[in-house]
Amino acid sequence: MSKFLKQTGLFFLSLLLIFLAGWSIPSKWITESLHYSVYDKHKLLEETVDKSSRIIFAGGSNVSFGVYSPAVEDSLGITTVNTAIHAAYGLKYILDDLEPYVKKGDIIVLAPEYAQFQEDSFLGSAALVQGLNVIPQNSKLLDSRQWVLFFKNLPRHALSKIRFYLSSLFGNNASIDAYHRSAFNAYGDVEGHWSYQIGLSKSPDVLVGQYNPEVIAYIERFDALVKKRGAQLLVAFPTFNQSSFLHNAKVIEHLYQEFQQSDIEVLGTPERYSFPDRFYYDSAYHLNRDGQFKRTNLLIEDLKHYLQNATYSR
Amino acid sequence: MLFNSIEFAIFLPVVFLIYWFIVNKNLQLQNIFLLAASYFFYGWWDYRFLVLILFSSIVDFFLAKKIAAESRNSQRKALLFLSLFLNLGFLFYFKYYNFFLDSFVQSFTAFGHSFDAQRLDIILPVGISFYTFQTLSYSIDVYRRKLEPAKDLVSFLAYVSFFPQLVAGPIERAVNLLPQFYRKRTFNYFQATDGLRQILWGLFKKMVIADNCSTYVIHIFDDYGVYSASTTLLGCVLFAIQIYCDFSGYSDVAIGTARLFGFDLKRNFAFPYFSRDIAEFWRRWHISLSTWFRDYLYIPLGGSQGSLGKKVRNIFIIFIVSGFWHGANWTYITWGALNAVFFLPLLLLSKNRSYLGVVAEGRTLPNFTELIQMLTTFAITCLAWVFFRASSVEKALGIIGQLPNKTLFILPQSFNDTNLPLYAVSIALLFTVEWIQRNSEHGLNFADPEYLKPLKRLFCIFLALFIIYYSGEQQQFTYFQF
Repeated sequence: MSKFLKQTGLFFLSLLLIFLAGWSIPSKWITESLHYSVYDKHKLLEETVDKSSRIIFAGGSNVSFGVYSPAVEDSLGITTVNTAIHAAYGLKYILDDLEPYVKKGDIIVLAPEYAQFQEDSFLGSAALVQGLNVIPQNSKLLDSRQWVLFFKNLPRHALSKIRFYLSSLFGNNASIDAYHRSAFNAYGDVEGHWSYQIGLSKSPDVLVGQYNPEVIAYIERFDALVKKRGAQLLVAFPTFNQSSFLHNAKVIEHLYQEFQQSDIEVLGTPERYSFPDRFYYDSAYHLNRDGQFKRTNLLIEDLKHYLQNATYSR
Repeated sequence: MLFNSIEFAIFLPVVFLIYWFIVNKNLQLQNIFLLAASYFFYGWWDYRFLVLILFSSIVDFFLAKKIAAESRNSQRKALLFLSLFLNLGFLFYFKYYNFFLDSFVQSFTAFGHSFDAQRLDIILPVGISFYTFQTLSYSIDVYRRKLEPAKDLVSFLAYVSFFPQLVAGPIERAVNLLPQFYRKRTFNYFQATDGLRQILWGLFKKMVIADNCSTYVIHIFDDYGVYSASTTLLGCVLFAIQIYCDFSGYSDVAIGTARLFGFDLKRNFAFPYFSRDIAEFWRRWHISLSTWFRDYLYIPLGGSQGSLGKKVRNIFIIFIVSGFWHGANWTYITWGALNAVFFLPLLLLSKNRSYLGVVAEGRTLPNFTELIQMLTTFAITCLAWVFFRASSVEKALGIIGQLPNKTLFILPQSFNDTNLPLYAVSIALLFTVEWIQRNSEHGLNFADPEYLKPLKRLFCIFLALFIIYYSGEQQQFTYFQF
């Protein structure tokens, strides 16, 4: 038995060493990836801390690809920051990462992807590991369930780093166009995809799994915390291409009703932010340049309305 | 709890360590612990399933004792029928009731009558077809006096619910497995290491090949009309590979896991895609089910003895029932019937036992004839698999009907997956390793000289990394639904 345990132990130890090597490998691929933009976004939040009021956009990539902050800032005269990067960090991580930067006078516009409300998606997935590899100090934000997800996804992440590292040694750098740190503008919006045209796949995005009430409860907790600091949370609906929207209409309507019954301030309706396929870049949530401007204009209208009338959504 | 899940990755080592370090003192403790672990494993899906398996096992345990003790044939027969009625009754209720009801209603509708029938809103208990067949064989063997009834209830319950093979086989005969519960297991290094390697090979087949093929197969079978004939054909071939890797992968993990606990389960797959005709294929595919049907249905019906009509009838019965065992759908029945059609000429020409050995025995490569035979057998099994996979017979016919088309000769669509060449490499790796190992029990069943061991260890590490990196989206094992 001891021989067996020793051999098996050695086998798993070799795997563990490979994963650790992958995790700690200094990789150009990581420092240039979109995940690294978290530092740029934190810096933006720190640099604007003295502004009396800020509009802070938060969410997943539907927000990073779907808002043009300079237009919001010009129209409303309020400093604007887009903190969104990737939905797959999970809504919990996104909110926990933002929370220390919230201060009095801030208006946080949160637009979580619909998938965040299904099952445990709001706890994150593989991207959570990528995010933590970039900013390890954020590990304190993880709860036990997120740690399980982290360890589940760590091996594959470590191996993909090794793979990219090895291919970079041979000069084979993968093209990552819009998914790149330099694709973000000075406000935190993605602009790097404007010159590309990929288009959507034929099949609609399908929201799988049960609705998870824990997500709205978590947003409510965040809302309470924000209010305590003298800031305001507004929930907007993500953009979702029309075929996906129609395919999931019931699920989305149910979510809308749940928000209506909560204490959370809501901007607009889900239908308002669903556009024809020609406005999308490469997924049901990612807008192209035209789509980005279209959605930004709608958000500006809704925000103006809100700012004029605090009881707007009720 | 799926074999390819984090939960199982935690469950298995915990059960292994407790089994060999804490409850290894005596046989009774080992069996009680295995029973508890198996019920925990099964209850993880739905604790309500436990009631059914427990009830069915207890009934069979006592009925078999009565059958063995009874000397009057009529009484013994009556008790056996009671056992069959209860086991098959549960199976019918949970698996086939709605199918028969729908077919009944449809046949009336066809004659211009319509009526509403109350469908049952029930879930199919995982693995019910597998453990029902296991307990059936036990009762029948006791009735035939081929087997003594189980000595104690714990051993019998542990035999029925033994977690490695509970939900998707191999369907173990009591003659083979039950006596292993009567002997205290002692740790065997070679058995355990070989078991681990078999688990690794099974996970490679399931997580890398089957799960990745599945994402393509879903697209192609769901929307076959929008793809070129070459893409549809690729989908059919990929499904043949997927179903093999999914099910034989499961069997490898099951057999390997059992070996970690000192049990030897029967082989369930013997590299079926290297078969030279359909008869050989059926001796190598899902062996535990094929032999079950042979021993408990085909031979009692008369087998290959008797008149021509009787032979044909028996072949159709066994294949159609086998198809029906897989699921309550006409697609499975058609799949079974089609295999009967493929098999029949071999039986009638007495060529169904032409290939009992391994292909290209003593040679590195097959000769031209063998290659053509293997490819032909693979092609006709692919044709039958279309019915197995399609959601309806009409769809299956639509898929097959779409194939003779000029778009058969263009390159298949790739679905923009950059990893596609790697999947092709992994399929090539599968067939290369299995070809080299075709005389062995499984792909990583090494029996090589000492100096090659470090190389084989490196290969295992490489395979583990390959599994982690290229595993597809986690999918349930296909055979769980049966």
